[in-house]
Amino acid sequence: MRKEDLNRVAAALRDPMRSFVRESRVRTALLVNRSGQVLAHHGFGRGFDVTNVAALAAASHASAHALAELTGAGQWMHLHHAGKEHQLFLAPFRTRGEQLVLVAIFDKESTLGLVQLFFDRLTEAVAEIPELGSDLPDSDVAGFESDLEAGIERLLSEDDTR
Amino acid sequence: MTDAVRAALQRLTRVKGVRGAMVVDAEAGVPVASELETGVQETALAALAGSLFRRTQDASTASGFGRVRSLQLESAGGHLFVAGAGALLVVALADPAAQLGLVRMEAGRAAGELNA
Amino acid sequence: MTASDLQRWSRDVAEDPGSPSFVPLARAYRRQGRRDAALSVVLRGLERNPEHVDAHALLALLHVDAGDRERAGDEWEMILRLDPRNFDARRGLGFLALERGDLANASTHLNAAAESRSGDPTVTQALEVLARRKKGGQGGAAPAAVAVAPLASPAPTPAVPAADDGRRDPTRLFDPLGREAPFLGALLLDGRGLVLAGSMTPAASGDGEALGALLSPAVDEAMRTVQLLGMGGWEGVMLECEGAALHLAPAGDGVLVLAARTGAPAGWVVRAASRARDLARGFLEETG
Repeated sequence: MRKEDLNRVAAALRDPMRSFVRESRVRTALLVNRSGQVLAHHGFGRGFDVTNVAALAAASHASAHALAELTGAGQWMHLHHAGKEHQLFLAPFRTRGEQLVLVAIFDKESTLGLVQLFFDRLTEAVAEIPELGSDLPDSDVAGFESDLEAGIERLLSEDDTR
Repeated sequence: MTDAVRAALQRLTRVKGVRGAMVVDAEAGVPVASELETGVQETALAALAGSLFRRTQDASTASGFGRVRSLQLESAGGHLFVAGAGALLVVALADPAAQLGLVRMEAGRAAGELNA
Repeated sequence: MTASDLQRWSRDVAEDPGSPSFVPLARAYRRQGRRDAALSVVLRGLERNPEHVDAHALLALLHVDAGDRERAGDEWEMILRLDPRNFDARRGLGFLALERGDLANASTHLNAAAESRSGDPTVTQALEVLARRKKGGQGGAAPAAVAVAPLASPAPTPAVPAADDGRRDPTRLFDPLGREAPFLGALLLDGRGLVLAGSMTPAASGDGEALGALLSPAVDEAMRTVQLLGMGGWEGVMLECEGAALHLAPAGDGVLVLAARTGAPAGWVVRAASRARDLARGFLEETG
């Protein structure tokens, strides 16, 4: 996704993501595309490197997708890792334009059930966003590096304004 | 899920006015087994009942009242009953006119069987 | 101790009854006059930490509070098996022996206590009583009352309202419900969790403001649940807890909290909450 598109998409995602973080009580949530670009990031995320998490989430998505195809399991629904202090929830969903992955990190203030419930609502809200329409140029291998850079640049500029 | 628990959920749903009953993982707030009337959202009921039980549990222990054994949420549109059963919860959703005494008794029995 | 300490200890103990927080939590409950809650916490903690000296010492004090000297003595004996020089246990056993008239044992324990901690005024006083008794003198007429009293902290008292001088006392708003045995108290909280009226007995909770703050997340969650499940307007939530039955219900822009004894009939709780709501409504109308 080009930098100018990314900024428009990030602005459109702000409210639904804020609402998701507030209602589900996750510590932090990221929306990442298949290139590992961070389209949105809300909550408390100072304890980890957001760009690394995004890149790893994209990689997890790719491997889960491949595994699901290989085993005939179809579309993967979500990955959930329950750590001692924090839990991780990764789930893909399709918008009109492209496939995104939600990464949510939560502690005992939330539950897997709450995250799933409000993830469903988030996907409904995001589906209505025209900025994620099908006319946006999708990422390909060649554009991966520049997409990633655009995502990182946007994150850094958000950090400056916080 | 054992046949006994399944039978307990069925007993609960036979009580007049009960729209659904389920067993929920207390930690995760996700459904383990359910008997629900059409239209009752399983994921939402499990997540919200689990979260409500946990919040009240935290509030009760912090206030010095100890752990919550059960809760009954009353509203104009009906009642939500949640009974603790160790790592699980028994949840029942009922109409305003439901026979609450029976709902409480059957939910308590189901929780007892899950704890056994 | 702050409300956040209490909350943290409670959370720790809820997650693990054997957590190190069980002793300060039980101690805090005792200071608030919530003996049953303190007893429950300390007993569960001791199940997992049977050799916890401070916990046994606290349990002994809880027995003293209840007038059960025999059990208090058992706890102090237990402490001495774990820590033969323990001051609290020596002093407690010395006082008990003095109370029984067992002067030999009283002397052994009190002198050991004095060795462990010289200059403790309660031990000094008890040793003076002991000396007079040994001489057959007066002065030992009521040694136990003198001796055992310092062990217990001052008995916490509820916020007793001032004598009725014709003006309305908001803390007594729910007094009409107090005639019924299961009733432990009720509080009317405003939208910010501050107490507007009512009171709780020490058996329920000594600190109404803290109670309002601690219960507010549960109230918020109840309202959200009703809304998200499409259940119509929220009317209340009844909790059956180990230590009490609670009923929370909306009142004005705040919340009405009613506490009843554990095992109170559910129907009674709902009806009492309804009556409390009527009283609260009248109060809110009168006070604007």
